[in-house]
Amino acid sequence: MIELLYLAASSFLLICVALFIALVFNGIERKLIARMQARIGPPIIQPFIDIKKLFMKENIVPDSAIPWLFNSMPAVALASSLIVLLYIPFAGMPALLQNYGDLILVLYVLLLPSLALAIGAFASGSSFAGIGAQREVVLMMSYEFVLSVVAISLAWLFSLCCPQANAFAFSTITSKPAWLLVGGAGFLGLILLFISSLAVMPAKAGKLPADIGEAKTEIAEGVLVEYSGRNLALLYMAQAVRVLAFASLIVALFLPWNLSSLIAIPEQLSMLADFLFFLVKVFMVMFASSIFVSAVTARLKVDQAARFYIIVVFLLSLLGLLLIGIDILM
Amino acid sequence: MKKNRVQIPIGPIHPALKEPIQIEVELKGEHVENVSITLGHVHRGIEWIGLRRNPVQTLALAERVCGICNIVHPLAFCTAIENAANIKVPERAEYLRVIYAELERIHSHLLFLGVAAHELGFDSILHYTWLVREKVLDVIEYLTGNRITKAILMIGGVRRDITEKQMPKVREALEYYEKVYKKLCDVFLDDPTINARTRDIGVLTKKQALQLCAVGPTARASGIKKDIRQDFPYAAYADLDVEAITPDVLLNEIRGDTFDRVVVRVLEIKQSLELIDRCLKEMPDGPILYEPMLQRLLVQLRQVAGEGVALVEAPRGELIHYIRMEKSEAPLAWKIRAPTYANLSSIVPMLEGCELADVPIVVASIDPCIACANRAIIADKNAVLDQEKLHALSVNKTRALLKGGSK
Amino acid sequence: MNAEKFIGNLKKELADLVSDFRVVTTEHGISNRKAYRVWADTSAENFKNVVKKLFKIQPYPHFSVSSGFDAGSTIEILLHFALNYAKPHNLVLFTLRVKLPKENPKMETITDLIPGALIAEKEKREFLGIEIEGLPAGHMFLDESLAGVFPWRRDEKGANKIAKNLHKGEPIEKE
Repeated sequence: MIELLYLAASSFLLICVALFIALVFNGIERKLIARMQARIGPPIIQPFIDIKKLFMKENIVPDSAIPWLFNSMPAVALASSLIVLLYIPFAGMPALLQNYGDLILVLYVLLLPSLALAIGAFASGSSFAGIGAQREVVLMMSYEFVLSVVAISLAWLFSLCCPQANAFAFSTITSKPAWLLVGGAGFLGLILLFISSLAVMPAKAGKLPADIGEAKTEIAEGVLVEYSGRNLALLYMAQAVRVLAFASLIVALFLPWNLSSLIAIPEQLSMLADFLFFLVKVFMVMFASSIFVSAVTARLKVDQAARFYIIVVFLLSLLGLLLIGIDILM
Repeated sequence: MKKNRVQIPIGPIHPALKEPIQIEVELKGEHVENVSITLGHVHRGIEWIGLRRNPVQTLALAERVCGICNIVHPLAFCTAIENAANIKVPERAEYLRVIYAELERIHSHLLFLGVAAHELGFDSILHYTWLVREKVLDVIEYLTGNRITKAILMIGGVRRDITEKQMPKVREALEYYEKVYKKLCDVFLDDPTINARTRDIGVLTKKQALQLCAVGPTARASGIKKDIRQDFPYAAYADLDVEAITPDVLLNEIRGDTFDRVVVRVLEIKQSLELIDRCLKEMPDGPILYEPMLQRLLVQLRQVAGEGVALVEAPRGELIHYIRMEKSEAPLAWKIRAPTYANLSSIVPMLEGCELADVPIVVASIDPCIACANRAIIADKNAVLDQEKLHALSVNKTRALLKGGSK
Repeated sequence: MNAEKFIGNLKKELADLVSDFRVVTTEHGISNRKAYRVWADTSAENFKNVVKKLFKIQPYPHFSVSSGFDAGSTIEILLHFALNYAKPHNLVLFTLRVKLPKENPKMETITDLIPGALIAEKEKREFLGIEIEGLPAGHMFLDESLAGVFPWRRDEKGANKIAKNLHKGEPIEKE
């Protein structure tokens, strides 16, 4: 009982911290993009200001909407993106709920925010939102393949090196960096898998060049068009947390090192150092896959993006799987 | 409406087209099936007002037809009146008119390139092109005293000369744009995402362009060598032998797609730079006004009975003004035909077979200009800048520019 | 073909259809290059034939716009064509005037010959109340609620006052 209470309390704490970090990262991202575009940009705390403002605003539900579905989906989106964080090793510590779920669960729960966004958009009854939702779903179907290939390849690798453990569990995956388990071909394969997971980031995060479901200049923010006030604030936070969650997942899969295991750090500081090091890693992943990319690309069309994910990125990840397979079997 | 069709209204209020026009698109999935256009959301009755004022007052009105093309509208208006009243404009004034018109073309094309990038979601380029556009606006302000509504043209000439002292600043801007031009070429011609979004999208064939009487860069991108500056002598273009630019100059082929329309405009920036350079060198000395005394000019214009028509190449294409004077204070008839008016019907064939995602960039590719006006109130920390303060600030900036300060 | 020769052809071709064929030139620049403007009058019956004739000497004549105004007893429509285009300094700006009776202003559409004339013809219909035969129905510029008001007319059907503050719900006066 006490253990359960402890778990609930620490989960709550983690969620609050993660939400805060996600919004700060969002602010830094906006500032950085602004600087890359020769603008001054908003202050880093702008996301907090925005959310405060949105919570004060009226929450409008269109006449054509299905109110309960329309209103519940933003909460589902935020809740599911936050819950993912409880299953992924976060801030250099093992995942809080690592005994209750594994990589497959995480991939599924990570799908929920996009799905909730699409359902909410369909429920709004607006034709702009409807088109945005269609695009969101098409995009989702095209990049999920890639993630499954990545999951399978890593699980295969770990099932051979730790036959007694659950290969999909994060406790197994983070026990050793995957890079140390493979030879030359496998190393190349891992690089390809890493690149393909990074390539999925813009679509997961709803950033350029794959912010197709929102596409401001085409369908006027698409899936978000009918949302306002509290609902929009929830979706905004969900979006920010989703980016953080996905970046943490990539870090957990491919960059599991802790600072304290690399260099000597006094015992009492090691947790703080690991935490900061984790944030740096997550930010690097976000920068490489989303911030920088969105500053130097135009928006793709949904068929172009789908083709890119199904053909280019999917083949890239398959090649990665093949290389790892060669490495394992030889 | 059939069941699997969706109607999407683009405009009059839409983040893609901040213009008072409504384009109703009928969609099947993502594919455009049908397009219809409605205009007139901000019909301001400018021609109607102009028929109740004297020509010099109307000149100020002509300038306010468009927020971007406010050299070419007065230029066409003046040329039409000069044609009706048989006024010969001094040669120096004709050269000055060309310089102002070409500066405006640079600013307008840079504006377009930014908008095009924005429609594609490529905001970094939007901010870059609009950043470099500031330079030409500064030069325009330096020469005329105003950034946008320049109030520089006059019936029978121009109001202000470009002095020898002002030349270096203009030259410096030309050099700056020579450098920028290379970068713009890089960005727009070689970027893979821009290519993917504009190549073979929104094709207007040469035949369609001819039938629909397309004008300006829209027509030239389809391979018609129509350019009023080349075809029809007005102002100093009679001496300059401008050559109409078609995309095959650079690409060796003409497809008439959105990419071609972007290329034509990028190339025309270069052309404008060369024209300004030539005008600065070859400009003859002499008066800049046919009749400096306003009262005498008005008396003369009151005696005019006749009609005049003027063709001018605006940044967006052929602009035509027709005016009929009947020995009275105000003209009897005034007709303005802005280039977008002629190009709008080309949107329909362009959009055939496009996807919804293409609609904004294709519509933007004719560079539609449905006149707009702005009033800005900027909250500067704690102080709200009202009209007086903004005006004072802009006067200060102009003075600073004239004094030679950088900002 | 240079402009002078083109105007000669134009005059010959249109001889029996138009009256008052005038050539006006203006000179520009140091080189004093001439710009050619040609004016001609025709009747409502003949005007479509004139437009058809233009195709003989200029494939795809460029229709710039049609102007129109209320001249008291008649309504004058002026069709502006840019002919002989895409030839350096030799464009001929041809303006064809059609006078229509005030009581029954009626003319044929030319959109079957020149599809690009659609917007201009709709504008003439909405602003001057000219009946254009063969033009599809539907308003393009003015709101349907303004049907019956033709702003460019100078008679009782015209607009004599500009409506201000429409957003405050002031009624539009039809005069």
